[in-house]
Amino acid sequence: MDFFDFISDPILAISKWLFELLNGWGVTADWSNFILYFIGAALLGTSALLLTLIFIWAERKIIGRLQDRYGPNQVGPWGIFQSVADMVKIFIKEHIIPYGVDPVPYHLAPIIIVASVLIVWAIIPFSNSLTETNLNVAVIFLLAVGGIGELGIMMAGWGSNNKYALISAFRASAQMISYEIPMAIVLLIPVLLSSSMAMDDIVNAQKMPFILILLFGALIFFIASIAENGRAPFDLAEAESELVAGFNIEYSGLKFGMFYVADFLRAFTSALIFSTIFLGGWRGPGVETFPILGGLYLTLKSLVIWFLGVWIRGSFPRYRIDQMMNINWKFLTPVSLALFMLAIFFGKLFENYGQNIQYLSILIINLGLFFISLKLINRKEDNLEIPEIGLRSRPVAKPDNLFSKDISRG
Amino acid sequence: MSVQQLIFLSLAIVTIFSAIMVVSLRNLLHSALWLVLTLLGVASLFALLEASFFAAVQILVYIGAIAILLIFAVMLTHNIMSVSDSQTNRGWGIAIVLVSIILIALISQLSTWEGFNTALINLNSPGQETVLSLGKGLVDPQGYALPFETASVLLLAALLGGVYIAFDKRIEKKS
Repeated sequence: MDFFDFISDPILAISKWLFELLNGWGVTADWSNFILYFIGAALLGTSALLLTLIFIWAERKIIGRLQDRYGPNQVGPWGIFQSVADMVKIFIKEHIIPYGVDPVPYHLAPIIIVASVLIVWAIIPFSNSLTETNLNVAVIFLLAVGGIGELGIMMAGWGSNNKYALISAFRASAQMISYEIPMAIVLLIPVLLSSSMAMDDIVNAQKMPFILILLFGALIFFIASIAENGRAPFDLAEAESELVAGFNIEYSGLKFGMFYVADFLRAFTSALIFSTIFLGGWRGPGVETFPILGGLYLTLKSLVIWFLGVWIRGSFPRYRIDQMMNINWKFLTPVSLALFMLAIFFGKLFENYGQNIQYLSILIINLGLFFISLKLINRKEDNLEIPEIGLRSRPVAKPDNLFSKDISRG
Repeated sequence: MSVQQLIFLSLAIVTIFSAIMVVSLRNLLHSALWLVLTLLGVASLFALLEASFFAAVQILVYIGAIAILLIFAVMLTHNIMSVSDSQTNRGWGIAIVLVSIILIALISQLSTWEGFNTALINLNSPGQETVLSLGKGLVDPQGYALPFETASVLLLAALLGGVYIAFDKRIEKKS
């Protein structure tokens, strides 16, 4: 029976054993709790960072296949050790500090950016017994941490003493600040449905995953989280054709590696959040008896969402900055506001008719708003006038043809 | 010394030190970054008092919005980084005297108030209860509905004022 307990929930069992061990050594209860939390945080952070190695490889491989090439294929079977090799290379690379950097922001920025991604892992419940911190304001915390990420980007852009880095930092923070708004508004609906801001309660309230009720809301959240991560098609901060490399242009060696890791880890982290809030988190068959299965379900759900993100990244062209701002301020924000207001109104109206009717009304609102906004977008697209930028007749370096003076053919 | 006291002391030292750095540094951007650290310290103190809502809102509003806006403003202001003027003007002596008099008067007056010495009661409300009671208090007519609404109206007025100032006046001139 003891072994069965261990198998069904190994992490809780280990922590219990450690707690008793520390108690046996004469450590008081609050100190040993502190030590246990410390160990847990260190383990979680390290494993998240190590997982990133696999994600980097997988993403490169998937995008390679999407673009009809092989992707990494030399180091190890299917190139699986490519990111390990890259990591070693980045460790031993020369670390160049450009002239005129602002040292403190410059050196602190990569750490802050990685930390702002890792800290989100603290609030995700991995099974019904294993939550790192059952924060009662987890949803606000999630948005607040996004602000710290912005701060890191601003510090990187400023500290680098490079105009491209600065422009990119402005773009990135403008993008993150704006896309936080529809994200926050949509996040309020699951909060209202589960009448709690704690991640645990949100997961527990999802007898039926919220994505089945909030189809459109989940879509808005997904788009906003892609933009928040600054991934294609919203990767304007790293628009190579305009900004050389983005806010991390002056970083090299390990510091560049940290930006890289943060970028790839953020993709999976936002998938984790999406599946916690909209896909029911660790919920799945048999989870009550075997809590360890919860972690597996959560990982599987997140992998699906993560793959969707990678798929989009590999398929869509990049938006222009004004298009991106238009999408947010003229479409996502008003639509999410309307969705939020209608959802509370009808949710409250049908509250007394039982939960099923309430959920059904919210689902109908979601679908209705989705089709209305689809129609609005399509109508706009019909009479959209795309102003031409630049001249048709570009002067091209070519020998003058004395017989035809037609320059428009260039 | 318990863990809590140790954490509190280190947080308090960090907060006060960074607050001093905010007002004493010459480089405005560095001041803004130290201000972020100060606000983070205050948020951690809130978290230590188990006021997690305030901690999260402190980070969300002050760091996520106000400090970022401040940094934007500093960066976009022309030549603000290279000003080599003195940080103080002629009135600094009088300011110190006045401020210390006011501080002493306030502290001595406040310490005579009987509420100053009462030990605070732990709310002891688990999970969502704190946030719920806060929300109910804000919209309850017996509670703080009036100040809350007043603050909302004030913010709305500020927003409208901002829009009016930023509004493009060329349209009026054309007509």
